[in-house]
Amino acid sequence: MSQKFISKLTRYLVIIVFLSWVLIPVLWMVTLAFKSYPEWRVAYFFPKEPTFMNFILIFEPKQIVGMMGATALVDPVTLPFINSLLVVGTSTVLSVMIGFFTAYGASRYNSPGPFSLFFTLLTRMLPPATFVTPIMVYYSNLKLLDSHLGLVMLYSAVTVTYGIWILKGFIDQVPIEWEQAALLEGASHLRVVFRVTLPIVKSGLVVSGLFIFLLNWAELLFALVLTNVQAVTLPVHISKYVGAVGQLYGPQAALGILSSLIPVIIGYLIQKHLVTAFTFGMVR
Amino acid sequence: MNKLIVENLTKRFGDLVAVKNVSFNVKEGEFFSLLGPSGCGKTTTLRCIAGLETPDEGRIIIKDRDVTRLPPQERGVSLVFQEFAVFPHMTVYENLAFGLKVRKTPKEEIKKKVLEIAEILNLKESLSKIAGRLGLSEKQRIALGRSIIVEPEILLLDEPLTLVDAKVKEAMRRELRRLQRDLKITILYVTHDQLEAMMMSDRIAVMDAGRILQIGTPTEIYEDPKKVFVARFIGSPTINLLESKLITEKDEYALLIKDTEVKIHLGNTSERNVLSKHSGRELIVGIRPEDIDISKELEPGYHFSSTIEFIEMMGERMEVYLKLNEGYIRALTPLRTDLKEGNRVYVRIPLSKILLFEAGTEERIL
Amino acid sequence: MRNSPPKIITYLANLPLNLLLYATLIIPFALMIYLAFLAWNPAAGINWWEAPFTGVNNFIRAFLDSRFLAALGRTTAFVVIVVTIEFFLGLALAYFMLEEFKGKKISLSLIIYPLMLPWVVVALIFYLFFQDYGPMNNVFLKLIIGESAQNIHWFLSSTTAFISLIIADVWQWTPFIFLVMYSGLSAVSKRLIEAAQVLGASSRTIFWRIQLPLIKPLILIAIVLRALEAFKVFDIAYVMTGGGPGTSTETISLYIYRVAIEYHDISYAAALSLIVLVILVIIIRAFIWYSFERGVKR
Repeated sequence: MSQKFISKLTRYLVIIVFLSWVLIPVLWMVTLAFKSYPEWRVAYFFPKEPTFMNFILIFEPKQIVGMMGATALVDPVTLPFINSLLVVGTSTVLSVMIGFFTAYGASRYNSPGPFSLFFTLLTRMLPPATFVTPIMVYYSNLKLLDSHLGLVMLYSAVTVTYGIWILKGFIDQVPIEWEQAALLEGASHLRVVFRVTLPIVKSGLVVSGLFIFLLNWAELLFALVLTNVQAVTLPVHISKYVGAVGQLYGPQAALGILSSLIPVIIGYLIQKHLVTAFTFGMVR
Repeated sequence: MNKLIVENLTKRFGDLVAVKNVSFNVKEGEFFSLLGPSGCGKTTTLRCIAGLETPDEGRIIIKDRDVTRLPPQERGVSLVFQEFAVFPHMTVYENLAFGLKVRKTPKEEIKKKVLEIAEILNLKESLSKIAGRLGLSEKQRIALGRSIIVEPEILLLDEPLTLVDAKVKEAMRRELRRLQRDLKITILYVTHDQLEAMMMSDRIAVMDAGRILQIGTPTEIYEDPKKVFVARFIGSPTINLLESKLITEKDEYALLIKDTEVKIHLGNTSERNVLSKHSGRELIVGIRPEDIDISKELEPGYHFSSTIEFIEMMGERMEVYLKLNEGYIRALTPLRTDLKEGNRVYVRIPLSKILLFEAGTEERIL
Repeated sequence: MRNSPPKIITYLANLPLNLLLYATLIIPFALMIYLAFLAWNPAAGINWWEAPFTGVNNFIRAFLDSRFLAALGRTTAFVVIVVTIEFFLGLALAYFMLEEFKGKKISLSLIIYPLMLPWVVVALIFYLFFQDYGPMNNVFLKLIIGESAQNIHWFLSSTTAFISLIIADVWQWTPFIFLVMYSGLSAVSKRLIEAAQVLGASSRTIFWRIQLPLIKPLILIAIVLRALEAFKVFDIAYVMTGGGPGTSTETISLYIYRVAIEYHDISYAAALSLIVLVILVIIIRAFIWYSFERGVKR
């Protein structure tokens, strides 16, 4: 009996310790976001006088000057937020669409072949920094720098591989007999794909879409290099806030929360599929 | 000496009572079977004995030790699963040695025992092969071997032959029986195949819907079933069951088969006092196909005539379907060329082979 | 599977993908190869097609560049340390989470959420956490080493800065290893575990001798994927430490970024990129060859 008790106790201890380790840093950021200026540098967690000031500040940073006398001139978060939504949303849809068709061909007909598929994996396995340089030059010549289109193209290109692999897994599971039956009834190939296969893998589309959104939402390097003023995304905006501009801890924390809302919700929605998504469908 | 005593075992899964008040004993060296249709609770009972399920009520006693609250590791039983569950990533040797290794048996002894078992089970050549890649027959022997090698108090087997080819089954049955006798292992065997149970067991417990209906030797169960269910479950082809009424004619009892004119006179039997209690009541007549006699001529003692509706060939025997009111009565005879479909024949039902059951399932006379 | 794909399917399955890849990646990649052999100073107002050819000078310079080599070594060390820690933590956690217990569902959801946060946000979280006035110093370390905790400036010393990066990465990515291990371990057939139990094995024995060996291919995948991802490390270095103090936490991605964006030395950046790419592709190729040779399924 006591052996069982000890192992139960160990288990609870380990899990509680780990959960605390996971929650405490975030707790700090969350509580910081509600602290007013005088409380930004305190050592305790919960603010004595909670306020929404920081959230307002990130949208109207001009007020910072008045408050702190610092010459902290950062732009409002509105534009980066909208840019992120637009760019990430569009590239996600593109990745999923292209991914779906490619996955269908790969699953049913082996076309494209394994080499192409492996190549798409490389786009994800190699560090972005190692190919951002020529893209910068390339875009500069094509006048795609600081453009939404440029970012959308690139984001789609590097995440389409997830669309392909995740959807291939889903399509593989659709019995081919169903498609053949429809074909025998006279449906064209295209119709079969849209009317038979597509509806069945709906959840696959959602999973890959949400996951790709998650990844692109977080993307920093490409946006940092390729955008400037117009197409600035949220991660870039955050990076501007940190370090450079006079220790605006409160607004930084508020920014952090703002940027995490969508990813956390997505993460919760696709919990069950996270493993499959992260491992390109290798683990089910 | 009782190796295993199960007392009032009850196990529930939510609202479903899978095992109801099951009690039985298994003696040392005995081959004991739990026989019943799917879902009757036999596997659950077995798992409770192994320790993989915790019973809600009752006790399990293995060799005078109450193991009811003990985990599977400490009970001294071995279990061969229906799916064999050999460890696919280990070699045959490692599979066989597993139980011994866990018991911290010295290497030399492990080697000796593994070689012994491998010899008996014909696995010697496969010892270094990876278990996951082998065929069903080998896997079954591995599962058996690793269970036997730890010398359990009692060996439990959960429908081990279900997944095996029909032809191989026969050989395996013989093997199992022989093995059990040679090594003097106490076995508790779970199956839904009545032929299997009848062939291999010293005693059988027939189960249905979570309860034990009858315990006895194969002969006892065959000749002296206490419930309609048992009579129906045992024996192939299935027993004929006819609804009838016990009537009196001229001071003697007779059975009037429902919806027919057929009367079976019971004459002056010694069971008069038993019969008198059920006079006028509905009874179920059980007669096994192999006990029915057919003749083309009317001979004394024959009860009624009928037409042959259908003949099913079964090798050196035939199952003859004889029309009786709305349905059939089936008879089993050795191969005869004089019987053809459409023939009119006479049927005799030997009184000594009749099994009478009350319409609420109970037996009376043999 | 049918053998000959209908034309429309082939088009749909190949054309959009190829279009996308060529337009956004393959052409720039070809460009990069060309750029690496140039001596190009964009500040001088000339375009790349006008820049003079310089042969392998950039590459030679790379091999003599101690900052580059240091960044490579540092990043590799980072990957090794981080993956090792995450592996053991993730595995241990998976072991403890395997059985049913009260609150398991919620725990599971909570454990994995760091994975979903954008890397910048994680960097931000730890940037705040490791501040001089932050809780790391003032609450936690105080408990351990008392007042002298005030004197630790996480981002001002190269060792502690490096450690802070490690902590941030471990915080975010241990759940990944955990998830992969956990799903693999849970998928091991219950029958096998029962069989081992009846044979007398304890939970620990079952874990080490049955469950773990059965998920070996999974372990490999988890480690390789994590290592590749860890090698890319940029966000936390850029945001938390800026590569500093000095260049002591400068990862390879950060260095290449600097060369291209801050020093405007495009050709050199291209050369560096190529070198790193070649090394990585060789390693990945070797790994795939290795796992196929061994018959381990991908």
